[in-house]
Amino acid sequence: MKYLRGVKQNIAHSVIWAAKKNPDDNIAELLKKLAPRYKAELEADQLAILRKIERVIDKYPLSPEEKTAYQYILYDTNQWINNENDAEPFKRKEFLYQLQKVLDLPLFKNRQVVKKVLKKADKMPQSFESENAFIVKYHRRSPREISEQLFYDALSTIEHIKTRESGGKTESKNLAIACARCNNYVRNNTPMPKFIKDHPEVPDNIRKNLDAVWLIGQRVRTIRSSQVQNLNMQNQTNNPSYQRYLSALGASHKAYENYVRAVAQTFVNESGGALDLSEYIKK
Amino acid sequence: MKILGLQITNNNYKPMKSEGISRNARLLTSSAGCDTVSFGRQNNMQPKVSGVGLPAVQLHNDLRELKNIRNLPCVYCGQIMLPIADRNKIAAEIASSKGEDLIAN
Repeated sequence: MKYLRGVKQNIAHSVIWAAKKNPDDNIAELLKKLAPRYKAELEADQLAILRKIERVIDKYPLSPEEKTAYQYILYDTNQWINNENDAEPFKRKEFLYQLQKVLDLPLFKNRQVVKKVLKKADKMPQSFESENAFIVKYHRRSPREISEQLFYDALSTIEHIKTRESGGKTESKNLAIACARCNNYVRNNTPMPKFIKDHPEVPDNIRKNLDAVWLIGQRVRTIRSSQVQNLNMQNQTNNPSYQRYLSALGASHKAYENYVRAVAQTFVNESGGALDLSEYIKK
Repeated sequence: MKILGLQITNNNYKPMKSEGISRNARLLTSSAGCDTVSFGRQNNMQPKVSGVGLPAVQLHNDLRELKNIRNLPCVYCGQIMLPIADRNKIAAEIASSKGEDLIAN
């Protein structure tokens, strides 16, 4: 449970609750049993967003053709959401793709309304942030796929501090270890100053991460020194494979320390002075 | 022979091994747009590629090791993280267990 939190933790609680009633079922069968209730809740959320889009369309003056076209879109989407056929379930990504394609037509002249409609449609629940959407999406998948997705958020991935989009390079000083959720969904390509402003907990978490890496470096120092000492005691220094053995022990503590200093510097540069990590740079 | 609009004649053909770099390594460098290739340690001579779609050729060993360390907090949200091997192991355990085992774990 310590690797789960937020939505994923809620899903785990729901699965355990269902498991108490059905102790012989596996995770996929349990999700199948939970799905109908969650599907009703998800549909209510999706229809609420459609109503918001409807309000946007009513608010702005549009030509009769444009208005009719929007009403067709809303009607079709409504039908798609309420569709009882499991072979063609409502898919957020597909819906957004089709909507974007339709709204690109010259018929939709009021681009301000198009922009607002797309912004509202983008708020359709996603499986990484909504319990309902996760259970409805994955209840038809295999047990392995469900459990992999359940722990997806906690997966350690390599994050570019200065994003690749803004010219960030793939080199140690520009790379940090972030969870898959932050890397792929939360930060995306947000510039660091805005990201820190939106998420005030980030500076503290950067410090925690750098402290942990520094500590690993210190542990490596202790382990390596004891291993090297053993080698020296056995008069192995003249052995031609000695250097090769040392490199096989892994990165030295200096590599970790240099990494912490370099990454702290990159964070300070990227945040435009909003972050103060001088204690790590001078460490 | 014509590949992607380039005319290649027999006269221009040159075995890549004669340039002192193996074919696989050359392919990797050209696809990653880098000048150097890091090979695995000792007996493992296969070029290493990380799991997140990055060209591992430029990554320092320390970072690859960090990615595989258990219980490191996320740099942004502080979530305790899992290496991919551990995640797969846990997922396999959960996938093969029944409801009563899920409650117990």
